[in-house]
Amino acid sequence: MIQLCSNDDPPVSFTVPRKAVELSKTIKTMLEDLEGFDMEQTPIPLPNVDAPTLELIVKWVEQHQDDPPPVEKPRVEDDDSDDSDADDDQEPEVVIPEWDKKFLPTDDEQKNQLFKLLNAANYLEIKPLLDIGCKYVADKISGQTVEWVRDYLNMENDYTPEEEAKLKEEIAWAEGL
Amino acid sequence: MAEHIRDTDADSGRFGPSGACVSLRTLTAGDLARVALVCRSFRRLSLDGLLWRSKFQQKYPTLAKHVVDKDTEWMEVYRQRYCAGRLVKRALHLLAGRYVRREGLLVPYTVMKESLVKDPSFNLVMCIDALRCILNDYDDQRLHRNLTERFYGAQLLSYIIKFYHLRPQVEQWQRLGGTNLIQGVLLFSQWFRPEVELDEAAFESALQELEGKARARLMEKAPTHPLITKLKHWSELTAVDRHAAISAVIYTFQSVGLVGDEDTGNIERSCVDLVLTTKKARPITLCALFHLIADRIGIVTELISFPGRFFLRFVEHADLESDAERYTYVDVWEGGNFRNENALWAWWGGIEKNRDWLSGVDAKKLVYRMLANHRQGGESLKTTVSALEMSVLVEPQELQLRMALARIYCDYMETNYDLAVDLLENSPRPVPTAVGHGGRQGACPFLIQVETYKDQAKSRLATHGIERPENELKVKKRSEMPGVRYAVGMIMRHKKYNYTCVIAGWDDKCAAPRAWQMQMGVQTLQRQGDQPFYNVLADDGSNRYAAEDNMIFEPKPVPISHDEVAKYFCELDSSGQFYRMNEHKAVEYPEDEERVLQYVADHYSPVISDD
Repeated sequence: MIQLCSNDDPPVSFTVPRKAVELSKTIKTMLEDLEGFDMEQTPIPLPNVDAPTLELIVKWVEQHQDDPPPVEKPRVEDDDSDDSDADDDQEPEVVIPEWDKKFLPTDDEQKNQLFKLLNAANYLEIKPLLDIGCKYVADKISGQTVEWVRDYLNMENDYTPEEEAKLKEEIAWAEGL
Repeated sequence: MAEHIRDTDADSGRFGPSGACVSLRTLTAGDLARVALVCRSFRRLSLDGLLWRSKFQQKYPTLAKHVVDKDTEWMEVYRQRYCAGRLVKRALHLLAGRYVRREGLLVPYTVMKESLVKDPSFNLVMCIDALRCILNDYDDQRLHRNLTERFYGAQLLSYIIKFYHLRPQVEQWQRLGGTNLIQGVLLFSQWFRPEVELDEAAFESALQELEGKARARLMEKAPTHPLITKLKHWSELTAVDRHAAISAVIYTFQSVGLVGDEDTGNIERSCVDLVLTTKKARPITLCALFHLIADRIGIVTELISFPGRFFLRFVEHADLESDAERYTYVDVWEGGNFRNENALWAWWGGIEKNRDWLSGVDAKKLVYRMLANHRQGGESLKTTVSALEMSVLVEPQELQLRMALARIYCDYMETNYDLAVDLLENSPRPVPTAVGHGGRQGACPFLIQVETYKDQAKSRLATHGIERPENELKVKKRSEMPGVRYAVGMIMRHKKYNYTCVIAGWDDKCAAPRAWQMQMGVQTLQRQGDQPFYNVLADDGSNRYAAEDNMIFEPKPVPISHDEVAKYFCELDSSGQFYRMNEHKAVEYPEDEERVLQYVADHYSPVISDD
């Protein structure tokens, strides 16, 4: 078992099976680097993750610890390789499993929690979690107005009015898409 | 909040706005373009080349494989292709509306040019792909769908492929002497089949395969053959070795079934790339293939444009004196047989014998003869026109061909006067001896004829303009003419003549001239001329005008093979029981579709469908 600590003061710690925690590439690499130390006794601090988010992460990795590992494709470097194989290098369509659909904090008031979760998944390199979360957000903003997307993602419009007008003109072709 | 934005993984279009990571990968192309407006960091991500590349590959696979430039601006390419698709659709819609009430089947080139090519955003490659996508989007189930768009799409594609894509290539090939055989026969093939994208690489590998087979056969029969060991050049070979080499190629052609086909009128028998798969070929095409394969092995053959059939020949006995003894001929029909000169004359059987017929010709002459086969083949006006159009590029000096094409432009297409004038005005200076068999004597009257014709075309251009006149739009509402039983789109049968047809229009009373009525015996009908008459497109390809008394419901409706069906109907209903009017025809008969549906429901047993 491995202990994970949140960044709260005082930290909240969670005990997770090693198999589950290794779904995080970040932690897995760390554990491999520290081979020989008794990691069961050393809590791992996660400076970027708060307790509610970490709780979600733990819940997710425990649920998915027995998933078959994703097929790792050798990453084709785009600039120096022959382009012919890169053409087939299309990632498969992401499908959100039923359990995960219920798991994701998808209520509108929880959206900041969702974003925190995704950021944590990104920091901890839990690709499948990141994929389904990103897919959820993308579906959410699909077909929405620019203003709605800004509001949803807490973004600020950093264009000058002139820039915005010019850009609108540039992408006018995509209106019917 | 915006200060928290940071890129975490820009390559896959993922980033973290205020604590969130969003992947743009799953957005649609439209959303992807639009989110650029959210903020600057979104814009940077929305321009991501890899993302747009994958969108492009998904949406336009046929075009994507041609974009090999690594610095491609994928979003821009996507935009161009998308806009080309819209432009093409708009042009097709325009043509369909413009010709629904004009006679004839062929849209004048000038009109097509105006509706598509002259648009400032016209992009040839993108538009060709867009049109091919429309034309090739059918299978057995959807064969009778999207008829109108495909009908005009085929004309538009043929026009832009011939005049903008291939013409410069043919001219270039001709200027370089027309010696490249592969290029010549492939240009021919593409010229007549614009909807197919010619795959030169696949053709090359098919040739390679045949070459490999022929080599293997030669090796099997003569393991130490000089062409296998590469010790000697063809010119140094003995008669026995030469004979063996040719035999290996003949064997190969027979073994893969490339043996010639009786149905020579079909353009598909002439297209060299297609022939490799169908195995059905005219002798001339087989000769071209044979020549190419032989050449790859090191065998030298000559192409012989003999009257009645194309042959090949090779020097078998280099040491003998007379041509008749030196040369052996190969008749590719039935896979290939050896013939001597006498056998050829015997086969020909004609009184006129010209030794020039026996000399080898170049690729240009071969292509020219392929074209001649289809100029006179009587397949369809479209094929004849295409053959003439390519012929005048291959042999610009042939004034007679220009004249023939100009005539068709004016008389049959009735509309391409401007092109006709251009053909006759800009021909290279005619050389009288090059005209016809009559030489100098025959030339002069012919030149006068050309001059006269040119003037005629010019005056027609001035008085008629390019287009045929449009028939006046008369909206016909059934509610105002309750006597009319049948409606546009119904599939009917003529009681007396027994043809099947589809109704394309009607009058509540016979609107034909009295003389026609008398001749057709309208007065013998029960209601005479005082009954609805229908314009119908019959299954035999004819247009007829039939009285209601003579029409019954077709008990077993079938698709009607008539060229004009596509002008008025967008599809055969999935039940196969009636044709659905396109929007342009529906303007004329706004209340007919409802009537059709009701009648079909009453008369045919319902078709059980999946939904």
